[in-house]
Amino acid sequence: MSQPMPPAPGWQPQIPMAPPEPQIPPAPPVPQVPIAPPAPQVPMPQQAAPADPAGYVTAPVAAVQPGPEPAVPLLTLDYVSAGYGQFRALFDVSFAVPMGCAVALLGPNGAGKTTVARVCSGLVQPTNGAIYLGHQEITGMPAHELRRLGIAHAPEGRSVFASLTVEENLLLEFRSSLGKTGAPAALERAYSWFPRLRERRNQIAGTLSGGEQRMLSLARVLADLPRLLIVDELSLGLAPIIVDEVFETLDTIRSQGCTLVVIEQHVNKALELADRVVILQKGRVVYDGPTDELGDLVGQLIPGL
Amino acid sequence: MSRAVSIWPASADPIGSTKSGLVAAGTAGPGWARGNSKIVNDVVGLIVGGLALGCVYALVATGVVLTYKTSAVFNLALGAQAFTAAAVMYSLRNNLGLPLILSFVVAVLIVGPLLGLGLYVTLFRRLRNVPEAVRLVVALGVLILLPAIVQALWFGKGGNRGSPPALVLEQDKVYAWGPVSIPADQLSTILFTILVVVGLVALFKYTNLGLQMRAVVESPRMVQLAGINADRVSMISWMLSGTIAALGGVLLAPLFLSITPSNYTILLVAAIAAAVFGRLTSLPLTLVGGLALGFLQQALSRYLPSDSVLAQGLRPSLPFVVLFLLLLFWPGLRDRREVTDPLAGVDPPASSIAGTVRASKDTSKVLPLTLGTVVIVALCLLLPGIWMYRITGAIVLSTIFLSFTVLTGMAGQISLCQAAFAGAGAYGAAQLANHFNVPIMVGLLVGGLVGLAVGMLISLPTLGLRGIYLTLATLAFTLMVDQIVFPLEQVGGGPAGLEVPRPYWSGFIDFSDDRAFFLLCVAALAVAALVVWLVRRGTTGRFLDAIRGSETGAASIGINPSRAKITAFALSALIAGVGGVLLSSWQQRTSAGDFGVGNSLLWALVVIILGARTIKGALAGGFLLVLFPELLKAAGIPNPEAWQGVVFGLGTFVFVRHPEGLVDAIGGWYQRHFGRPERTTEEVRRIVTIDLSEPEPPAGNGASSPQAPYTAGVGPLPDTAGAVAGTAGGGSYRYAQAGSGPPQPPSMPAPPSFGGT
Ligand SMILES: Nc1ncnc2c1ncn2[C@@H]1O[C@H](COP(=O)(O)OP(=O)(O)OP(=O)(O)O)[C@@H](O)[C@H]1O
Ligand SMILES: [Mg+2]
Repeated sequence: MSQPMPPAPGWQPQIPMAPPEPQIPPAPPVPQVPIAPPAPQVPMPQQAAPADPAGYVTAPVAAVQPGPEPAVPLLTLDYVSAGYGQFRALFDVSFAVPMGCAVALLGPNGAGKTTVARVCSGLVQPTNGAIYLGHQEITGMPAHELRRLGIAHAPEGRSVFASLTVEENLLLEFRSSLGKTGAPAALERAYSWFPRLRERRNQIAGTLSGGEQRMLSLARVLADLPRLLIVDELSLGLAPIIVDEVFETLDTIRSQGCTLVVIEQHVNKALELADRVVILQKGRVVYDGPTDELGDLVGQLIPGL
Repeated sequence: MSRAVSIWPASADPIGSTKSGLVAAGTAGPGWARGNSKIVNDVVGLIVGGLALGCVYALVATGVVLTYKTSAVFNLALGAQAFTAAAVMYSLRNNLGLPLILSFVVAVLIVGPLLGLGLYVTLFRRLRNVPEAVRLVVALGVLILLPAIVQALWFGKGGNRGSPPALVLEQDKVYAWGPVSIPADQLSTILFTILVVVGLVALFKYTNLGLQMRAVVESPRMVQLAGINADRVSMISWMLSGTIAALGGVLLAPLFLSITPSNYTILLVAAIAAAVFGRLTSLPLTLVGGLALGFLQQALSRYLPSDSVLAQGLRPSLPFVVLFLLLLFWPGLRDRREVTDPLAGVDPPASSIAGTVRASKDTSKVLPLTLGTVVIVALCLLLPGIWMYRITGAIVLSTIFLSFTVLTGMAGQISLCQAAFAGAGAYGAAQLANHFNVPIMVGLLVGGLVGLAVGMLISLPTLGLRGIYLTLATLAFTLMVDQIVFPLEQVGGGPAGLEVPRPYWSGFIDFSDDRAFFLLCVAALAVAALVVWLVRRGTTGRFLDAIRGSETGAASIGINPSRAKITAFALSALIAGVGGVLLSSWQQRTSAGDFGVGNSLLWALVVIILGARTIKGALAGGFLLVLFPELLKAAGIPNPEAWQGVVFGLGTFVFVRHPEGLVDAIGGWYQRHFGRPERTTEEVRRIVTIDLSEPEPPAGNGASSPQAPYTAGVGPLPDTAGAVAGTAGGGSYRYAQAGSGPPQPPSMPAPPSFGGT
């Protein structure tokens, strides 16, 4: 946290200018789902100079290299092993997440996908190997520092503070990342994407429906786009139509410059979205490559598909 | 005996021994009372006096609520923190003569937060994802440790240099408004309380830090994911609660004649009662609860005739009675929604007090074990008298401690009233012997039955209580019994105690000789141990195992949790009752404090730290508790009781690493270093590898995990996880450098059938 980030090539400011031509889906948007890009009337304080109190984007955006392919991936795992107590869940996992890409992390149940996500966000410390964010080694850093460096993780399952109200859930996140001054604007943005949440702003989050809780988790990370967003089974328990919309949202924010790691049981949906695929089996990487080269391999690598 | 094992003096009548100042408060106003009726006078005095006492209760209660709200720890140690601050204040002001303000700053604003911070960093930080029972035991350990340290290092039996200092600029000044007059010390208590409560409410309601504190209690991991340093937030809240406890302790001190740990235990219980009234969350309700308790206590001391038995017992123990009733009947408590950490799954499963002990079906060890015991017993008979006597005591205590093995080890309930069971048995048998000449041999049986009856008395109404609430109920029960029932002439024989003969029956049976009595005690221990062993192997043991895992789960497969729990309570109380009779017969008399709350807590702590699950643990506890003080005395250490408290309290630090118990931990360590080779990790790993044809070892690199997990059979994965004290708590295991691990076994291609099986 103390040292400033080295200029990360290709890194965009968090709240991007409106994407040139986002693929507007043909269906009229269901109001509570963020298909539309951020409402233009919302002030965008970070646009000119990323004045973030946490200071994770101190380098001017001018450092972006003009080259077609950024040399350094945003996130690199280098022979990472990790586990829980005596139990070892990951064995020498290596892969890279290129800047601005969506990487689908797939595999059977218990393969270690969630563990990879936890290692990347600092919830589980690796026992071996190294992790890099751009040029910077982030191995062993605590989760809150990684969040300030721009890695956000929407964890599997219920992930809201059940005893706080909806608004408190949002404020907790925004105040820490944007400071007291930026929080109200972010709150406004979140509510304009998810009007449903505005209606329920004073409700205790534990009493929201499962889908509403997912919206709340999503709103927390979306109102202030991170550099890298790791979503772990975001669509779990959602109605199929909502799942579609969630994936469209993910597509949109990727086009706004947010790099994605998507863990999904809806393999086909994930493959539609992703630029690259990493497949895990029993804690090891068995496939790592572009989506188009996967072909029928997917059927062999993910049993039961 | 009592002096050897009790750490706290038995004197504990908070109101009875208070200075007249509190009771007479409000009536002492100089100029107002002339024309007013006595009733108004009384009522005003009552209100003001009750307000001050209630404010101190409320203050510490807010500390309880604060730690519970922000770190999910039910911090029994707050009583000890309050005591420490008061002792520091007293030493600085009265012994060293420092100015009041300076003493206050050091005791409340420096020692208070530092103590809170120190406790969090050294102990409670790593306890977030352990079972609640473990946290409770750790808090209990601190409750014993801190006062022991203070007393051992400098404070001794308490200050005797004048009364404790009040937090006022002008001593003995009285402020008067019309008919109301308030002594300065009570006014300052009230003002400080208002300040703290208003400040805390504002903190939680309006500030970002307050919001973060509330979030941390639910899930520190998710708070981390939001980019907030959860550890820092917890530290701040512990420092805050430490300051509040210190303030409460310093404010309480002048209300008593001396600063003793027992006074502060009573303060703690009163504060817990107030916090329970506030459902452990609501600060305003907590304030109301504390004030109400203060008023009630003040009213009792005013209107009950001071010489009646009821008044003498009930007045000081009102907080215990209130706590007990609140736990049983306060609806707010049952409606609490306990929120669980959604990211709890990130931690490896921690080992617990209630971990697994395989009751081995292997009977081949029975013969050598029996022979060995016989030989050791025979050797003991050759010991000189005094050692014989001491070892007898150790065996008697071990018998009592087996009652913990049943209730805590098997049923998973932490009970703090085992001494009450033992005392009930002992006093029952002794009274029968003294008044009706019933021989103690019969008394042993009667004592057991009396203990059992008391066990029923406490277990039936508390059936619905779980975890911490049951423990609190047993604590309140012990305090009530200790304060109201045992001091009665008809029960404990009053201050003089009771003579208890050795078992003797008209020439046929004669155990009055020390050697014969020793053999009797060995026999009793053997029988108790056998019963415990059989129960654990039997159906009831299995049922209790299931209930310990999940009461709801057990009920869903047709186990009746109530019946199993009552059985455990009954058996435990029976054993304790018999043990109590033996204990008093061993000392040949009873004295105040033998079965008091001090021993209740100490016994629980020692047994649980050493290992509540095994018979070995109970044995080790008995011997340690009797022989260790002798060792201290032999070494010529002054104030051995306090040092004993220090050592046992420090055991807590081992306990947080080995919640399964020290005896088991040492056993496991011994196994790994000197045990038979086939029980090492490598062997088991190979067996598992062959058996399951698994390409990878289930337990991975030795680099991050030096201890071998397999001390309990060849269960592959679940056992591993369960048997190992995981390094729980905010990512506390360190990142190890690459390449330091042993070479991995050759990686075969993984069979693709993994997901399907
Ligand atoms: N807290 C824990 N303690 C011990 N083992 C764990 C823990 N959490 C996960 N594991 C184990 O680690 C392995 C990998 O788990 P992980 O949750 O990463 O799988 P996953 O790929 O996310 O599975 P799913 O698709 O079912 O979510 C599993 O075998 C699991 O049993
Ligand atoms: Mg998962």
